[in-house]
Amino acid sequence: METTLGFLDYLQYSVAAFLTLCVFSFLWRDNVFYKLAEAIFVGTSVGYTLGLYYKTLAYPRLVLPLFYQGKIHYVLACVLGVLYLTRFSRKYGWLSRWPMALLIGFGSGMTIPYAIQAQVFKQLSASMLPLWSSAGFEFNNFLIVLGVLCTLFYFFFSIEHKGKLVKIPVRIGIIYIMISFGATFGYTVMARFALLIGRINFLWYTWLGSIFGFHA
Amino acid sequence: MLRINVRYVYLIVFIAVTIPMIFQPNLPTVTSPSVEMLYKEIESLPRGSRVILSLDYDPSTEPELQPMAEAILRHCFRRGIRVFGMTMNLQGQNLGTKVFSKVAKAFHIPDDGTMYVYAGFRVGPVLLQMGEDIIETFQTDFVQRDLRSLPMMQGVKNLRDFELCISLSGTSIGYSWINWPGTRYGKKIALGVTGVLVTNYIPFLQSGQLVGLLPGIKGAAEYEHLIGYEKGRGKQAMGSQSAAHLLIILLIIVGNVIYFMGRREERRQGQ
Repeated sequence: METTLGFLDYLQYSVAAFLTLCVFSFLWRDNVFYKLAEAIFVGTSVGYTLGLYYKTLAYPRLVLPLFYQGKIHYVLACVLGVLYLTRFSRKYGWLSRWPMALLIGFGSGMTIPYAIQAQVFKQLSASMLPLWSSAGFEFNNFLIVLGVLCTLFYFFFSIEHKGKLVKIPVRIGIIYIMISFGATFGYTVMARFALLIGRINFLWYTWLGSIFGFHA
Repeated sequence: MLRINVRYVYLIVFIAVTIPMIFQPNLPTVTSPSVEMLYKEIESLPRGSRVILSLDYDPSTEPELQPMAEAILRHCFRRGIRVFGMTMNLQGQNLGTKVFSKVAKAFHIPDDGTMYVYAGFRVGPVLLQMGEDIIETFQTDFVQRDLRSLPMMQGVKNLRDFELCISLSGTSIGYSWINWPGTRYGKKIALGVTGVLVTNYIPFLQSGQLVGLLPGIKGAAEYEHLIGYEKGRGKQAMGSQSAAHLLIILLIIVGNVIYFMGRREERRQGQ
């Protein structure tokens, strides 16, 4: 689908492309263009975030109900929020513990029961698998059970990892952990390249393509 | 022997990524079971069903996750499935409007709240609140239209009125989707995550807590392949991605060979 681009679109793409190249220039060495891009990024992201927080959080959730809709009880939330700022005072810094206590208490109460259920109990039951079924020996299940047991064994530090009975499962546990690290590293390489490809794609097709009229 | 100017490596990587991007080789795409699971899940939904698509990412992970969002949206719209869009990431809420309007335009779907609603970001324990009352949680969509007035939201009370929840993120927000909508409210959950996080979430597939998992840009490419969208950004990236991976494998082998040769040389000199 062809869309007509205006001057502002080209300008927007060009500024983004310039800043991308400024950041890439760090690969050669640290330089003034990189520092410029870094400073612009920090400044704009802080400003953008503050603006967003006000527009999305503070205004509709506090300013609007308290000052325009007359919901006086919102004062309590406002006071609790302001107490956070007392951290900057040595004398009154202890007051900031109240909103923090409320938040931590609420957060923990809300998170812990379901996290334990979803991430401990369900995971535990998913690793208790039958090794034999009507089809015979379940090799995949065996690999999972072996991996869970041996990896747990590796993290059992109450006894020294000596002697064949202990060393063999610990070794197997290490192999499982190494495979997991390898898989994570492989996926991380893929993720980092995806970001690079995304930027080069932008430079080639979105920026240069829009100027010279070619596309993917 | 090991002292190679790293800039040459950067240059080689740049060339390896750029050339396939320009020539766009048509590489075969093999789909993985976790991606097929999500595809089949959406295929099995009846026309008119509602799903939640939470775009929980910001610009830093957009190249990996936006192609997934686009592919899933295309699939849903093609199947006549209505989508409730939202985000748990404040900085990424504008990306949502972009992808929704792009795909809706491609399918000639008007932005009248019939086929999709994009509600943006809300603060607080949103996932818990959604389990009780979605309308009360969001109240308006991203352009401040009252949710009660939108056709898609008629008869919607809470999470129970949605068949499936899909979250795309580059953070640990996926755990929250598994904990609350998944465990507390018993909803089917699917995730699309950045490559870095894939291994964290694979155990939830095996335990049945996820009905699908899209792993990074590869997951996006596979999903595009499944829905027959060959011009997607995921598929486009696969040539460059494959070349870059081959290069990394080559560099690891060369690096190790040089290292061991250097060690042998040192040992010989020591003797």
